[in-house]
Amino acid sequence: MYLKKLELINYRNYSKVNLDFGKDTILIIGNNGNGKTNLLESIHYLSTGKSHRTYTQDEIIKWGSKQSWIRAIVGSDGVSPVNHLIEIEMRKDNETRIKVDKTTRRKKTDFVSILPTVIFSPDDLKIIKDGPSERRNFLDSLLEKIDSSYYRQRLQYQKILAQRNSLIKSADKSAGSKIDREINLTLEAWDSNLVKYGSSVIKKRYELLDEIRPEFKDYMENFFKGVSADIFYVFSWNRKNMPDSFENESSGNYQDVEIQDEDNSVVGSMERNLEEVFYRKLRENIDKDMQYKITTIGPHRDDFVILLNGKNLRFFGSQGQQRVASICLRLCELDILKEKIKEDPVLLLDDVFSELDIERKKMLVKAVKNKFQTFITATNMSYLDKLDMEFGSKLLVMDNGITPLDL
Amino acid sequence: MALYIKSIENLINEFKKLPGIGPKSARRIAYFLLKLPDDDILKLSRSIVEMKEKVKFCSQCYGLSEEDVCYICRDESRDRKKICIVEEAGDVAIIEKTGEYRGLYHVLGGLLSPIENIGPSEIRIPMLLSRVKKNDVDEIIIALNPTVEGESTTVYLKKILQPLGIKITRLASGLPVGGNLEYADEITIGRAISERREI
Ligand SMILES: Nc1ncnc2c1ncn2[C@@H]1O[C@H](COP(=O)(O)OP(=O)(O)OP(=O)(O)O)[C@@H](O)[C@H]1O
Ligand SMILES: [Mg+2]
Ligand SMILES: [Zn+2]
Repeated sequence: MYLKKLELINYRNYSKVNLDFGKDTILIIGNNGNGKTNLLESIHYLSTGKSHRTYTQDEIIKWGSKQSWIRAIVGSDGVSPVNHLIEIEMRKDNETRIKVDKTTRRKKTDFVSILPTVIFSPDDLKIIKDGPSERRNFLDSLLEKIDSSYYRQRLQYQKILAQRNSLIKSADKSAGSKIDREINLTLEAWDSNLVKYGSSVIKKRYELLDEIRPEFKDYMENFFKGVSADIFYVFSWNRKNMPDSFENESSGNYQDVEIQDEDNSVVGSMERNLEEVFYRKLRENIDKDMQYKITTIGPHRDDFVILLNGKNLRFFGSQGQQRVASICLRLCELDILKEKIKEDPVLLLDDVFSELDIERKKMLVKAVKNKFQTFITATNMSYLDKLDMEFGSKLLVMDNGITPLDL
Repeated sequence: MALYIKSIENLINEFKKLPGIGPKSARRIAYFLLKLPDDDILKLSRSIVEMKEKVKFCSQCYGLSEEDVCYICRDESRDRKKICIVEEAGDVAIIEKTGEYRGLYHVLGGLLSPIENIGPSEIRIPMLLSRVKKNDVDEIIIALNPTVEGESTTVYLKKILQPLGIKITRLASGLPVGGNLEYADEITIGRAISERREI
């Protein structure tokens, strides 16, 4: 699939734009703050039903307006060309309506796979540098694209988790730090369901990372000749030196994650085994849960860690190394999407070149060039000229409008 | 300025509180009632009051009844060794309509939900236990909704009833009859597969 036509009305800084695209590489040039990221965001929205940088819909609606629209024709060419009309209407109060070919889609999961996209964003650095929730979010967003049941499973897990946390909080009030038999019985009931749904979340994330791993190593070792790179899933029960303030996870640093072979093979082929381990760890940590008044074990506290020459990239990597690692994660995402969804994805490259040196710029170009429809933003053309790229069209973003540039 | 008549607006506001009724239907119903003959209006308002006066909870199963003990609990021809556990009194009517079940019921009146401060004693589980201990019960059928709360309540019931040596079953949750596999959600299909049985 690729994006053929895009119309935006009252979207961010745009009052009205109408654009046509070919299945090639489209360069979007414009000064800081002119709306390049906004344009890519709208394409991403078209693909996933959500923004890659905000959870509040209201932010997207142009200031002073009540509604905004994204309308697009996406499709494929060839002997039997396909076209779909996707219409998204956003209103204040976070109400969104999505129509595909004039029929309303109630569930977002119904439509996410029509136009698969991979976005490379400056914010991706957060995946490497920030707390575990950013990394979980990376895995979760990708799983939502390739596994239609994942979103609901995770939602179910979160509901049970909220109930369990509530129970733990109330238990404390009535019985001090030791829990009484009655509450423990209720807790066991919640725990068994927590484990049931949580295990499938863990398993899916773990297996995804397992698939990513060899490709990630390849990409990294290609970008940095002579280094060794690796990536590991970290179960909540293997996270060491629990930060006191783990509710604000970004401040917690745990540099020595213990990577135990026993637990890395936990998921493997034996689904039962994972449920057993999870349940055991949950029960073992019950006193700690009571003390912190929150559930400390479960996929909501899982993480993954990237090692570069054996050192945790999150703490010891340079800015450029971290940037490249985030790009490699996205390249893995692209490979996984290609494999799982039998549709060509669209690539959105938002200002990714600026931090890279010329060698690595060239490598990235090589990795993505001439494969799929690709949108690239930049503030100027200067370094792009040195890269071996062909653009199907160039657009200039200026004064809340978009005009084609002559090639 | 729109026409505003206080007594009409009052009634509309009352209707809006009812389940499934939005402002538009509330208004429609109010204007419809306005046109009804006085007799019909009296009948309607009387039946509301009468229902509220007469209907109470059955002292055994907590289903709805006009007597102290409901007609199901009084019915000697029913299998008194089976108890079906449901969330709300309305669920009894739904299962009764199938005509497939000939045992007794126990209405919990809610589900475990720590967030709403609902624990076992808030949902008539103590009453269930004493009922089971006093009477000769050999099977408990759990018919709770497959929500997060329903499932945890089911697990809880299993935990406290199993030591009493009673057979515990739950409703099979499968695919809707006449439904198309393609349109069932993944969790339903997943459960239908994991709880499949030999034919
Ligand atoms: N809801 C909105 N209504 C109107 N304008 C908005 C809205 N949201 C954001 N903007 C404007 O959009 C602009 C940011 O656009 P965007 O992030 O796309 O810029 P950019 O071209 O990517 O810049 P940079 O090169 O710095 O990344 C800001 O100037 C901001 O004021
Ligand atoms: Mg930008
Ligand atoms: Zn009764």
